[in-house]
Amino acid sequence: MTVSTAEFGFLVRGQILAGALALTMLVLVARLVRRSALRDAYALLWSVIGVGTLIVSVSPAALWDRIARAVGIDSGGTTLLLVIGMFGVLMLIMQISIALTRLERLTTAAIIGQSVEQAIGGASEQQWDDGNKA
Amino acid sequence: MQNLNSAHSNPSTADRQRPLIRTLAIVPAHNESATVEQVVRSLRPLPTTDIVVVDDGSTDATAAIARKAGAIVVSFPGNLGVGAAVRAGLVLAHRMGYECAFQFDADGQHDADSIPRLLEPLSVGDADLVIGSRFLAGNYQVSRSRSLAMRMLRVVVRSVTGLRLSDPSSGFRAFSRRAIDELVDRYPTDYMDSVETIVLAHRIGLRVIEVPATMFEREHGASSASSFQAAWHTLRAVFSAYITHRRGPIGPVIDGGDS
Repeated sequence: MTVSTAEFGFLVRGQILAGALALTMLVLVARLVRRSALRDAYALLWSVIGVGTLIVSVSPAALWDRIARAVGIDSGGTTLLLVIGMFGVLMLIMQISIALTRLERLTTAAIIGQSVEQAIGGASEQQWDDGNKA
Repeated sequence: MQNLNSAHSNPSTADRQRPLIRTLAIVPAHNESATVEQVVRSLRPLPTTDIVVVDDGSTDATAAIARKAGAIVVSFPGNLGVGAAVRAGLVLAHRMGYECAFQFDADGQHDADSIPRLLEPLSVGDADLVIGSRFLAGNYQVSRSRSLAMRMLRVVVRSVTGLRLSDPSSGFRAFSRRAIDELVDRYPTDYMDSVETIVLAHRIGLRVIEVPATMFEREHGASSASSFQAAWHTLRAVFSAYITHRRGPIGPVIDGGDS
């Protein structure tokens, strides 16, 4: 259970990289929010993800190794974090699919309604002659 | 212009549609400038029938040609798919109080002479959704892969609704007033509207029947692209039909997701 200095140094450097990436994401989210490019709910979501990533990146690797073993993953904390991350990403994509479906249906219905109203307004007497005069 | 009907009226057409009911011909069209004029002209002699061409984001002159030929034109700002185009037709029919509507392809594969036969069950009140089948009419030839795909669609429609339909993917179909009212807010716009609609109509309690209809081979445009695409198309249609059957309560398609 002893950790050699070399290994320790590697872990720290890895954490610096992860921390830097998390910080980059937070900065990006902050900028997007300021430009109001993200809806409040999404801004909050991404902020939480950014902060979460930052916390994970500075937390001791040994802790995650222990949690991984506790839940039955023998290959270490990295694997556990990968699994969690992957699951989170899939959930996010699913959420986007749901939002997109809803958006598409709303848009389609709105376009149909508007196009039909436009056609009714623009149609000449002659085009209505058959049915409407019956 | 009002006398155009009586002057050009096809006697057999006029006689067979007994009570004169206000009918809307719904013609979904996407880049059909080569055929749409002929199609609209073939529909004009029908009594008490208005024609709406739903231009589904065409990049050619489809809309202008259709308008010139005498149709009402609904124009989409982009390509929304045939399901959305048919729904737009139903919305117009609902909004303007038509008693029935029928769908007719803009590519010239449907036959205007088959329309009285298609509408007949509606005028006597026997059905709400009438499908024109190219196979009931006789020897319509399809390729082997097409035939296999159609058999799959037939099987899925039969297994989920119990309806034995020979041509469930046919786009030649008529809607009763009740079908218009029921489908106007939930006509499927996701994908393969034709098969899904049968399953949906059956679930809502609409009476679905099939009548023979003549169809021509397409002259313009490629109907089926690669066989891979055709297979994918069929798989999606089967899946759509199945989930339409399994889906929960059938309300309007827009379900206030966060309400």
